[in-house]
Amino acid sequence: MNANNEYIDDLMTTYLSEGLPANELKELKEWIADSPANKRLFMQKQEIWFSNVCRDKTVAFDSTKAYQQFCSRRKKGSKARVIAFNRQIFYRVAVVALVVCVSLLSYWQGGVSVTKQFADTTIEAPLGAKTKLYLPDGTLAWLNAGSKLVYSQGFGVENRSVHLVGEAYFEVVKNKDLPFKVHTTDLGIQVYGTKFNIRNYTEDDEVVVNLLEGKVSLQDVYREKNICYMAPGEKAVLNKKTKELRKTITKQANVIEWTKGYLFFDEDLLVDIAKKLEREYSVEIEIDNDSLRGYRFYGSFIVKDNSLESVLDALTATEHLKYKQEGNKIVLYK
Amino acid sequence: MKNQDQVIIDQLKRGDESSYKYLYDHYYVLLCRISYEIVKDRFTAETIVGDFIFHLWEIRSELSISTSLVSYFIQSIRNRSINYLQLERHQKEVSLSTLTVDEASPSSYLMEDSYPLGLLLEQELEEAIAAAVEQLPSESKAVFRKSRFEHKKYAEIAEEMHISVNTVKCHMKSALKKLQLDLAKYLLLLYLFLTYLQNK
Repeated sequence: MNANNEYIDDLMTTYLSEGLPANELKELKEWIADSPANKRLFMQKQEIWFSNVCRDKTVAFDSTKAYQQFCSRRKKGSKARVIAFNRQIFYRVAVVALVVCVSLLSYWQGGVSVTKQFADTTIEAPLGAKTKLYLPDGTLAWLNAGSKLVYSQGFGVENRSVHLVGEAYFEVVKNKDLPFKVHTTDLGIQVYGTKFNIRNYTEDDEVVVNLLEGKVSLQDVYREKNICYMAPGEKAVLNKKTKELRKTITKQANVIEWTKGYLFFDEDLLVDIAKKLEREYSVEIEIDNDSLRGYRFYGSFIVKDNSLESVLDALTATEHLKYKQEGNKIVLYK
Repeated sequence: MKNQDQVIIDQLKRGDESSYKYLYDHYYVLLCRISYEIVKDRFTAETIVGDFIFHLWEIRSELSISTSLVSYFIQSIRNRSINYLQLERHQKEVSLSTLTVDEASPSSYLMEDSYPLGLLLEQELEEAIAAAVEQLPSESKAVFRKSRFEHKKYAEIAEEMHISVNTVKCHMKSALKKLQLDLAKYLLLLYLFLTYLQNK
């Protein structure tokens, strides 16, 4: 730990004084993003560095001359501003104008291909569909309907970090040097080589992680120092409202049913099930009764073979709820 | 806000020439240095500060400042400098798109809206900072100054002072650590102030 502190201290100091190569800069940025305390420490160092402006003798500024310029500019008024520019300014303006013209032209000509070089890669699975893909490091990822995965150009070389909104199943290729990290709004996961499933749609009340093989560490954004380790067969649920994180043992085989075209509810809240159905069938579902929201259901359906009606029929067969269609909307009620 | 500030603001509003002279005498150099720190170009820094003061004069009748004068100035210059940089960076990225962006340059402060740079200066702690640097052990102080003010690389400093690059690095680290320790009470104040702002 201490050695690591020294190393980070090294990075921060060199960053301020000399600048860092891209890979180390990335490391530093990740460390800063890791916790508010880290960020604070870095910001303090940066503030000290920045605020030490007063003894810089190599760059002298002449306030008397500047004041004279101000006076002459004031006399000529704002309209005459351009004329008050001296020759040096004129050349600089000309160069800037040229750069702008050239860049606009090349931007126009280069079009999309130019911006692509800098942009992060984003993969989206539309509503009602799933996407299977292999990341540059060979990791297999399944994206469930309505999910989004973003990774930077440096993926596989500088880092193995992805940002996820929604649900995904990963089979991560082993790499001891580069941990595989999944960031979501509420919970981050770090792994070295495992199979796991994570679900955190923006509208979900819970974040759910299921570990099938290997070992992962979880860190939620609410408690900076709380790192939780998971063993295979465990399921971790983070409640976004109460901020409570709990682990249970569950049948993991069912968790990735969705990648095979099944719709699977594992003691899920009705609210989350409704959202799942909305994404899967691209419909709007309303729950008309607040007490219904807390109900949990368990069950498996094959999406290809099951119409939305048959799923709803199965849910109503439990006699806990009824449903009706109102235009394009489906209403669940008691 | 200090009484003196209010007097100056009133004079600025009236368009009183001496108050603008006062700005140049007291704040011009500091503001240029802050802008220079961000844009890394002397001419641009002077242009930004000159434009800002001229802007103050142009809008003098509607001028309203609720913070201290120096805070207001530093914040304005910081924003103008960052805006300039963003505009310039955008142009560079587009025109030099075949080159990779030089992220390694030390000029690229990690900009944070919630934790703006120069807060210590806003608190008029310029002298306190200088005093803290003065109190560093002599060799650390020399290394720190060469790096911070003369923009010298570790290797250059090592050669000049006949020490190893690693020693230079150690001096830099301990200098920054010591400054952070010595200025801790101000940094803490700033932190509390910001937390207050965020919760407001």
